[in-house]
Amino acid sequence: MKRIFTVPVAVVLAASLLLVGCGKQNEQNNPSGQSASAEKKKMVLAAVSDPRSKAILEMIDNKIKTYDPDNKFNVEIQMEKYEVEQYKTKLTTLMASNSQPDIFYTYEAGFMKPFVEGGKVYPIGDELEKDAEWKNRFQDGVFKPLSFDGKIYGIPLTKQLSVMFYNKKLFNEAGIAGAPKTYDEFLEHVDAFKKKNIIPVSLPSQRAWLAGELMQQLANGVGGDALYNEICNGTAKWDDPRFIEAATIFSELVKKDAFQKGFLGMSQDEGRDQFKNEKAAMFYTISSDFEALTAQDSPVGKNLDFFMLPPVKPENGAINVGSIGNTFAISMKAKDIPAAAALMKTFSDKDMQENIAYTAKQFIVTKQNLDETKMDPLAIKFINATSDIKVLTPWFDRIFGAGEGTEFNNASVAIAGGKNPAEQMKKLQKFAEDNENR
Amino acid sequence: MNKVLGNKKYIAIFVLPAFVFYLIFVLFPIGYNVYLSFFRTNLMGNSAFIGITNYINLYNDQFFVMAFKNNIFLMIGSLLAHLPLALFFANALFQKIKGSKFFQYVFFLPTVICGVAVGMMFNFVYNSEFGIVNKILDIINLGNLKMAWLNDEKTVMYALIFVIMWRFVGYHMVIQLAAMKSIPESLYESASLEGATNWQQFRGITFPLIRHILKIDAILIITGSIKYYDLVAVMTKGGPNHASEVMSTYMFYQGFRTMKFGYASAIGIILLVLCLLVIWGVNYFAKTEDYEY
Repeated sequence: MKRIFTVPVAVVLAASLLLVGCGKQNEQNNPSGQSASAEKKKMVLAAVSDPRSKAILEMIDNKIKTYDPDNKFNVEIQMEKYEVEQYKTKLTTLMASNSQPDIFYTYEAGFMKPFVEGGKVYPIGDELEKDAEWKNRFQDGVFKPLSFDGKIYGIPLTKQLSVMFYNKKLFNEAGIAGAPKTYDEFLEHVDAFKKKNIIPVSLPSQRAWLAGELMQQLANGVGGDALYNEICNGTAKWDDPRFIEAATIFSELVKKDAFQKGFLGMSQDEGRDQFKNEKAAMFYTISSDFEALTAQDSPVGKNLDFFMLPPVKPENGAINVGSIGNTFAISMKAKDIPAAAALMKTFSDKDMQENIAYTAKQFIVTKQNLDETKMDPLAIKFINATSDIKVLTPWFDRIFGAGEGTEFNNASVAIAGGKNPAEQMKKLQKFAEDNENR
Repeated sequence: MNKVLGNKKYIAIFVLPAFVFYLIFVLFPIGYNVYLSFFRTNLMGNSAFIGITNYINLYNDQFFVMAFKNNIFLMIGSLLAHLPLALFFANALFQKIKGSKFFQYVFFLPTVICGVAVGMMFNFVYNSEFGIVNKILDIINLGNLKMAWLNDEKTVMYALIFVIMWRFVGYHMVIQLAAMKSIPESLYESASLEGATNWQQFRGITFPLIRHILKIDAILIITGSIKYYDLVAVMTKGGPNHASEVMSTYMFYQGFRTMKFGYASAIGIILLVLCLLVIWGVNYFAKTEDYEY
């Protein structure tokens, strides 16, 4: 009799070990046992959180609360924020396992391309086509890096570009009249600051992209937009003499001690603080740093000014590294695509774009006129200066994505670390060729 | 109960749940990984069977070769640093010096701190601006030796291996100390009566009797060095320019950054094979005799 029970009891015990976890999960999912049909659908908006995007994320949070006042969609949207590097990993993993967030932050071009090709991203352009008023809000060309096979896959909130901020007070003290007009003048400025024992340029490159941004801007100055177009359409190679020339110029800047000691190990925050606290005369960065530099606690505040790095060859002026920013896209699997699209439409609302310009102090993507009385005078100067730019060349790590784009940044760090520029560019070309077959 | 546990059928039933988990979370992923390594895929529908091309490409991949060399460097460095150093500390504490327990705790403490926290802490220690290493160099008038330790291709691996040493020496010391404590006291007593010195006792009694533990320790060190990930990922992410890349961080980079999941799987398989080879190698070449006492 005993034996008859022993086997079933053992089986039940063993099986219970396996099933206990699942049982609890079910209970948690439906604690009340009620039908889920009356409940709000839950969607997730995944975003990148860093000091530059803080103000914009707050605006998005407000829009999430107000985009559907009549509860027409019956959808609850939750925002999840991640650190940049963590986010890139998270998004790739979720995409690969087909469990991507309903609405997600993304970079354009090469970063987004595999997601689009894998059928993970909803072509938001379809909604824009249905709503001419929405589509007509945007400036020309902002959707170009978000279009694949003639369809638009994301909505940007801002425009960003590379820029050299400088401290007017330190310039005056060093006897320098103002922003350099030519590259040679820029080099003279560097020498003048070195003589005064002031760090000429802050270039915090712990994360390699800022060194890459400068090298790309130098390449713009050497080869113009022709070089950029050729590398993008595959007719130029990374070991092109023009790239090697730009890389050599970059290594000469490093040898000249144009940047602070240990700049390769310096985080963005540390580098920004050095400039804010008037220890560095210039700060090469991205336009979205503008808000942090003009914040109330910023000693550099009133002395802040900027210039676009003059090209090495004067004929290649008005070409600047830059692109769209803060782009969001909708997942093909989003639980309620119309609701997600309705929220995304509010990102280009007049009040939202005004807030972006006035509060977050970033460039907007819509055509609307801004009230200059509400803007920082320097911001107005900034906007006027950008209207002189003929060509914006998006960052290589966005165009080519991780892999080739990231390796361009890594090459720039290696060159800054003392490696031979020509050898590094050849290595990059080899990587690009090998990487295609992986 | 003893009767029940004596029956192999029941043992099998009780082992089954654990085995099912092992199957789902270990064996199946390994099998799937082998399968994936023969494809060029980003796991998003874009997939092509390419046979062993991924493995051939790895052989020609400058960064993988660099990562492999770094793993070998870590392995040799860890073996040299951990085994003799841990043995030295263990033997010192085995001599029943005053405060021996206290030192055991102190040396073992870094092991219980999570790797990520250790990495973050040493990021501050090595910081080029306010790190304690550069500050000390300043204080002792060696300011010209100041460096961005983790961002200089020449120093980054040495900086990492120091942290690894700091973290694990206590762990290996405790293992070896435990082995020393299992040696009967009578052996040392009779050796003392015969007039053996401390060094002779160590060479003639302690070392031969803990050799089997040293072998296990070596396996732990070598396999640990091959699959090393957390500290490198937190402190350098394999940078600058892949100078501190190890195979596992490169696998992560290829998989989750460049979305070459087939290629990353091939790296994973190489890692697995290397670990198995090492275990086999250590067992084969370091056969120890069993002593009975």
